[in-house]
Amino acid sequence: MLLPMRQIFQEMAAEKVRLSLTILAVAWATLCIATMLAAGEGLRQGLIRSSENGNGKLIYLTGGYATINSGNFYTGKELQIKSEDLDVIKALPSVKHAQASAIWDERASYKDHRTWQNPLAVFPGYQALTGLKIVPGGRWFNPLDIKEQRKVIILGESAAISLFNESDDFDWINTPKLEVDPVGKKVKVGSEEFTVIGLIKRSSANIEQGIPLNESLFVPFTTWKRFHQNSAISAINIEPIASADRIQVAKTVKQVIARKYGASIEDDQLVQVQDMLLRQKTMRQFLIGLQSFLGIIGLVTLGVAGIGIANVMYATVKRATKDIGVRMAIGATPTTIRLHYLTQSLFTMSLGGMLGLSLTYLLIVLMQTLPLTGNGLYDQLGQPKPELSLPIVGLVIFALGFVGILAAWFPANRAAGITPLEALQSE
Amino acid sequence: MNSNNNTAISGSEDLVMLRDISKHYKSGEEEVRALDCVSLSIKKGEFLSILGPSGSGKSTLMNMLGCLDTPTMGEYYLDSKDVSALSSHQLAGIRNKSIGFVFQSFNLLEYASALENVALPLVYRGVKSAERKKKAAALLERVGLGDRMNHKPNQLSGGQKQRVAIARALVNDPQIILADEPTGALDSKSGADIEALFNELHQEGRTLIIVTHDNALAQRTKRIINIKDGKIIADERLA
Repeated sequence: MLLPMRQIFQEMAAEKVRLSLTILAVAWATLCIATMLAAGEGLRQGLIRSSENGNGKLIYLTGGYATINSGNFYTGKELQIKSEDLDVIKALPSVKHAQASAIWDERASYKDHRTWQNPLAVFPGYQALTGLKIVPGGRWFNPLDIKEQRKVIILGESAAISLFNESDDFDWINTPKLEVDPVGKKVKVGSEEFTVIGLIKRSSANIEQGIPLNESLFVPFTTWKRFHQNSAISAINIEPIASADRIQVAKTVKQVIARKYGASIEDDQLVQVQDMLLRQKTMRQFLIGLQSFLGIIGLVTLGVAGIGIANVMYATVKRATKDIGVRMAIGATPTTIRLHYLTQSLFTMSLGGMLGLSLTYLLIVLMQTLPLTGNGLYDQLGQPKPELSLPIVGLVIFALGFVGILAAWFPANRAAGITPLEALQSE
Repeated sequence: MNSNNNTAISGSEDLVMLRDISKHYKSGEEEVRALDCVSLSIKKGEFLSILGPSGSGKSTLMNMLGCLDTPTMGEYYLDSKDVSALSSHQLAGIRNKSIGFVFQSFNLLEYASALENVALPLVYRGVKSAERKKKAAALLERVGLGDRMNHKPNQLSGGQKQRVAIARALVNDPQIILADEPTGALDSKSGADIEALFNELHQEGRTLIIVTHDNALAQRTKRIINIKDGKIIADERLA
C-alpha cells in the first residue's frame, strides 16, 4: 500500500509550532532515557571491570567460631587456620590455585606518616592469582625474597602516597599524585625496617575481603613467618578450576578443613567461606536492576512526550477531518488513513529521537573528556564512563517506536473510524 | 416525461441499478426517510441530473450512488456488481476506481499543489510516482490548467479549483462522474466553462450525474430525475 508521503509531511508542516514543541519534548525525553541507560551501563561496566581483577574470581576462606561441640571444638572456640592447611586445599582436584595470606599486626610508617592498612604477607603466586601489576622500575617478590625471608615491601599507590607525600590530607574528589618514587626507600613495619621494592599499578580492584588494592601493602610470607612463628594465617584465597561447581567447591573446602581439625563437618560457622564471584553476580543483578530503574524513569519522561504527541495528533485529526473525508472519497481505505497518522507520529518520534540521540552522544563525548582519572571515588567505581552502546540505542529506538505507535493509535483509529460522509460534512 | 412513481428501471445493460433503496435516519424521536424505496437505472454514457429542492433527498441519493453512504434497505448494482453490502475497504476501492467526485466546495487539499491534488487518487491505487505525475499533468493540461500545476488551491480562482477537481475526478478513468452542485459556488462565466467541460466529457461517452437544485443546469443535461421527499417523482429524458 502506498501513502502520500509528501502530503503527510505537508500536513505536518501545517502544524509547525506544535510539531516543533513536540519534537523538542521527544528529544528531551530521548536524552533522559538514553543518558540514564548509558550512565547505568557505564557504572555497571566499571564495577564489572573493578571486580574482574583482585579477588573477583576467588573463594575466600577464613577461620570462624564453632557452633557445635565436636572433638576439640566446643561452641564459641575460634578456628585458627595455619599455612599447612593450604596443602590440604591444594590437593583437591577442583582447586586450580590456592594462596595463603597473613596480616602483619602492625602498620607501616615513614617518618611520622602511617598507612591505613596493615601489610599483607603473601607468596609470589599471589600476583598471578589477583592479577595485580607493578609499575615499571619496581618488581614483585621473587623466590629469593621468600627463601631469604627478606625485609622487602611492595606498596599500593595510595599507601605510598600516605607514606611519602608531604601532605596526606584525604580528598575524595582530588586524589593527590605520588610526589616521589618510593622504590628503594626504607619504611618501618613496627620496629622493623623494610625496603620498598615495588609500587602497584593503580587499579580499582579489591583484594581479600574487600581491601582496595591501592591501599594495600605486601611483604613476603616467609618474612612474616619469621616474626610470627606460631601465628595463624588470616585467609586462604582459592581459585577453582573453570569447570568446577563453585558452591560444591566451597562446601568441600569447609568440610576438609573441619575434618582436618577434628571438628564437626556439619558446623556451618567454623570455616567461613565467601565466593567473591557469586557475590559479584548478585552485584551485577543489582546493577541491572539499577539500570532498569533509570531506564523506567526515562521511559516515564518519554511517556509524557507521548501524551504530547497524542495531543497534537488529536488536534491534527480534528483539523483535518474534512481532508480525511476527501481522501476517503477518492479511495483511501480506513487502514490507509490509520497508517497516515501513525506515520506522522513515528516521523515526529524519529525526528525527536534523532535529535535526542545526537544530543546524548555529544553529552557523553563531553563527559568522557572530563579529567576524572586519579579521582578516588571514580577509580573505586572502575572508572565508569557512560556508554551509548548499540543495545541501548536499539532499546531507545524500540521505546520511541512503541510510544510513538501507542500515542498515535487512538487518534489514528478515530480518524479511520470516521465515515467519508461524516468527514465531508464536517466544517 | 417518463414518470412511474418511485421506479426508473430499464434493461440489463445498466451501469447503475438501484432497487428499492431506502435510507432512514433517527432524528431525535422521529424517523426521517431520506430515501424511500427508490429504484433507478442509468446506462453507460448517460448525462443526467438529479433535481430537487433542498431536503428532497437528492444529496442522500448522490451519496448512495457514490458509495459514500450505505442504504438502510435495498440493492445497489454498479456495473452488475452488488455494492450495497460491501465493507468499508471494498467501498473505498470502488470509489477509487469507478467513481469520480466533483463537489460544490471543490474539496481540494489546501496544502497540496494542483498536480498533487489530481494525482492523489492514483496514490491510493498504487500507481508509481512518475506515472502519477504524467497522468495528472496531462489532465491538468486538458482542463486548461497546464500553467497552474504547481499552484496551491488558495492561488487559484473558483473556476480553476473546480477544473482541478474535475481533473482529479477523471484521473482514474472512472465509470461514473458524480458532480454535486458543480457550478453552485462559481460565477456565471466559470459555471458556463464547467458546463462546457461536462458536455465535452459526455461527448467522449462518459457517464455524468449532476446533482442540483438549479433547473437551468438540469435542463442542459439529457435526462432529469426529479426527487422530492425521498421519492423519485419524475424521470424525464430530454431531446
